[in-house]
Amino acid sequence: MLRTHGLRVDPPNRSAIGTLLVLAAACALLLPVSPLSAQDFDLEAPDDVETPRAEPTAPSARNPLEEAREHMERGQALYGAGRFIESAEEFLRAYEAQPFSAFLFNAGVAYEKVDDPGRAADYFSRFLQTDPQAENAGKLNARIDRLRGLSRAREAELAAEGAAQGASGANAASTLAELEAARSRLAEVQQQLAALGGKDSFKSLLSVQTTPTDASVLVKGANGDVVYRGSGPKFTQTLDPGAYVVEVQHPKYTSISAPITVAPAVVNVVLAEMSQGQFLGFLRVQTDAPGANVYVDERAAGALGRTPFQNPVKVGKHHLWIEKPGYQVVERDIDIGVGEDPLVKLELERVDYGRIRVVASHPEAVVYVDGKRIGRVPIETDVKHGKHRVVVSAEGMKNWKEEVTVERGQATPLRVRLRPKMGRKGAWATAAVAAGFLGAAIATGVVGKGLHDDLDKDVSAGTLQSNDSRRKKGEYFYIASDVGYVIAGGMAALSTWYFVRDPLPDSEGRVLQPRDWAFNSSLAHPRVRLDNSLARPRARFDADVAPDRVGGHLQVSF
Amino acid sequence: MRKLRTHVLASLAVCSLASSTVGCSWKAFDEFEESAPIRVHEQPEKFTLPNYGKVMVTYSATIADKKVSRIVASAGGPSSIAFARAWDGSHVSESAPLLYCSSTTECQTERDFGAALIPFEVWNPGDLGERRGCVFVPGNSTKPESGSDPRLGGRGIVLCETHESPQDFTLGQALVEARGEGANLVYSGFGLPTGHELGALIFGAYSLDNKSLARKNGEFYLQGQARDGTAPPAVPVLLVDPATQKPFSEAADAGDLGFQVVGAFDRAGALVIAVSQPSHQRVLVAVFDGELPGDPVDKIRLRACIEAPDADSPGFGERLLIGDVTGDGDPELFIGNDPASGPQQGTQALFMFPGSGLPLTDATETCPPWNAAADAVKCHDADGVSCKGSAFGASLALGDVNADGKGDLIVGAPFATVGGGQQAGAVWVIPGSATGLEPERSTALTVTSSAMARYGFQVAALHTNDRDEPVASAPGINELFVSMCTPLEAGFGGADLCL
Repeated sequence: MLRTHGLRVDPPNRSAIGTLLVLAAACALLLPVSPLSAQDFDLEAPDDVETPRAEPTAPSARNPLEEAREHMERGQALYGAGRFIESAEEFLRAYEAQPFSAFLFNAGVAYEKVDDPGRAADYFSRFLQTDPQAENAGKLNARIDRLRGLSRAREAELAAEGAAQGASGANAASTLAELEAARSRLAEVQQQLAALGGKDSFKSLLSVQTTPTDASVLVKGANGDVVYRGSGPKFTQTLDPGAYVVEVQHPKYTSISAPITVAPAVVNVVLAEMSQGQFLGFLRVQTDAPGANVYVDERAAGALGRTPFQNPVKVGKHHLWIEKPGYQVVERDIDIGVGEDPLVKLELERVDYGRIRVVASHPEAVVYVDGKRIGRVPIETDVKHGKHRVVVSAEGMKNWKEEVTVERGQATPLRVRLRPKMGRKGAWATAAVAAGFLGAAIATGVVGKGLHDDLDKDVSAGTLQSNDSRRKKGEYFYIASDVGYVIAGGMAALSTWYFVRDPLPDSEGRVLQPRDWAFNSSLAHPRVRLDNSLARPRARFDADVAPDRVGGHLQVSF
Repeated sequence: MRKLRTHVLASLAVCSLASSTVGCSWKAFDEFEESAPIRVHEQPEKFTLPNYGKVMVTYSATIADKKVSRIVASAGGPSSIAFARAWDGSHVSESAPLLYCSSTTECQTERDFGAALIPFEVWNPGDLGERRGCVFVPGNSTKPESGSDPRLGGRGIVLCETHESPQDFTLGQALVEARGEGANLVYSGFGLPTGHELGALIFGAYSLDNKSLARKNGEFYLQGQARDGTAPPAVPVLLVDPATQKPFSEAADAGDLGFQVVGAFDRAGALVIAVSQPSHQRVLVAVFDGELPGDPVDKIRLRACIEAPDADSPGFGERLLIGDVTGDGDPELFIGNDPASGPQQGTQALFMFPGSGLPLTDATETCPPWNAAADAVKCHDADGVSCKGSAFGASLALGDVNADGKGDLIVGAPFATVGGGQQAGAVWVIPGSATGLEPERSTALTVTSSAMARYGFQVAALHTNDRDEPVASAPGINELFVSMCTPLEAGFGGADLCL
């Protein structure tokens, strides 16, 4: 069986597959490439990242036999809980799903138990009408008679009681006498009915499905006599609980047989695979989180299906792996007998790590988690559950930072729109001019200082003249230096303003709700490079072919 | 935010470091205005003639109860005159020059106006109030004033500051002085020292023969001031030759008597007047112990006649200075030639005649000798300046530069070569002592290496607190220089620069 995911398409024939393939190719070729841009990047867009979806469990698509089995089992459980009327109703629902006489019989048993002889007799009668060849039919007819008699006797008693209550004078005596007679009759019928026995004995159902479908089916009793005979594709027989042997014959294959113990009120489904020469059981696996992959005996062979899982498997011992992305793998050993359909119900536990999935508006954006570079977007990485600091950055763009809480076994998508940084060329140019003026100020200051020092020396030497031109010169250099400092200071302040000024909006991002992921990976290889489906369109088609269906899955992403 | 904080801190750190390293205060250069040991007085803007400082004098006065000292300079006649504040009682500064007679047209009406400057203490021109700190600026006129002595050919101006308006030199009183042919008169003189209520001047005058350029008709005069503020005509001082009993000025060949006239009080309070007669290679020394004005000038009596020590000393007496060097109260006489001009150019002949050599009695002969041997004032190479060919002695001044109570001789050498600049000029300062001058302790001041600057063409002493600062002109570059040897402010390191 091929693995399927996504929407299941069930075209009626193989030609539809080809149509789909052509359609997919046409979409891939004709649809324009849409380069990712900030304008195109919508933080509020619905989350279009692939997530696994649970297999839908539409009641209308369920196997009728399985439905009937469920009703049968529920009916038995209700009977055991003393809820007989509800039990009867379940058996009747089972009959509606699959019109097998056993269900009618069991409904009659339930009505008999709830002391509704009339209804019980009705359903027993219908049973015999449906299955006139049923075992112990004569005994059952007698029972029906007794039940009807009991019903009538009850009605008579009720009537006599009513009459007795309303009688007066001379009539009172006669009505009382009639009442006594009715009660006596009732007790007698009850004794007769009780003597028949078998009140709580339910009937069961045996269904044998063969491959190939034209195989013959023999049901033998404990003594080896054939009690039932029939042929495929589905052989279904009401029988009493007990030990039997089921034998399947086909001229092209070796006959196969196996003993089976039929329990009361049970629908036994036996699968016979003639080419393998063996019977199959029906394995059912249910998990609280549906959609888990079920592997039987060999992981490398791939999953046999997903939960809620029901699939024929060989009779015998099996090892199961039930695995769902985001959950811890569960292993089980199971032993399936012929006709058995064991149910494995599990509560899956999430793994202790989660996943961060980042897409961004800039194709060169890089993701850092807790300071460690993870890679370019779009990207997905496994991280320990808990809080993590995520930074998305790109050249020339403002960083986006967020503390993200990662849930166990779930992926947290992040959509980030990076916005450009404010250009700093003007700031740098201004800073350079400021540096230039500062340098000039320092230079002229140094020259002025030199002149001052020279003048000082001349004063000490007694040679400085009051009209020495170096005085004015030095003054001018110092003034120039002061002016240079002022301008440098002003330019530095302006440059600082240019550096910090940022009228552009910040980068923004959205942390979406955590959700289950589709692919498993281990923490040892945490980074998964997703398809760059956000940069260009991609089309993918998965075919789904099975004996009972043909379909496929088309995925086109942009 | 972190980036902003980093940015601001970095900027502040850099600026602080830079400003602390190289300094940012342009006011730092203001200190040099006051601390420059050499104050420079540049030619005033309106001074259009070259050779600013060719004539230069200094004087001190008490103006508005404040002791001040001024520098007055001209470019030689005829020219404008500039006054510099120089010292205002607290510090020596560059001055905004105060100019009189800025219009050369106006000044040129007086021939040789500005050719001589004679400072004196007090002048009181009548109802204009007392004037102090005055300068007599003699000038020539081709035509004597009508009604004046026809012999008087000159007219001068007295310029003074006042109590009410210091530094206001605009008021002047015209004086009619000196007689002569009214042409080419050159004056030299001195103002009478303080202590007198009224001003008085003694000045010499001679004339130049237009053809031969010989000096003749030399005389010296007393210009006094009447108590009513008027200025009577200058009176010739008739210094009598004891031998002939005739005034020296009336001799057949007076020559250039009065070429230089200087005077100073001796320890006895008598006014010692020295009058040079370079044409005769001698200096006449007289004494006046009367009161001026008032006492007749014939009380100026000859005491000595100093002739050149060497047999042939042309120009002896062209440079004449009187002042006390030894500190004994008797002024010494310094007599020399002008080594910068004339046939004696390049020959140095400067002598000091100790004040103690002044004869105590009036002369009885024509030229009685000085009673003390002359000391030759030799130039000693100093501070890298060579005396050779420097015209050492071209100008003379006396002042107490090192504040030891003894006069120090300031000698200009305008032809000295400095730093390769020929005739850049230098000024020697020779300290005085109880025994006279100490040339070996000379200091040579230089201010420029510009060729032809002729620093030292004129020298003077600018009185400040208790010291005198050497002042010298450099007419070749039109600047005056005051060399600050006095520590006027604490920490100023110029105290031992000169001496």
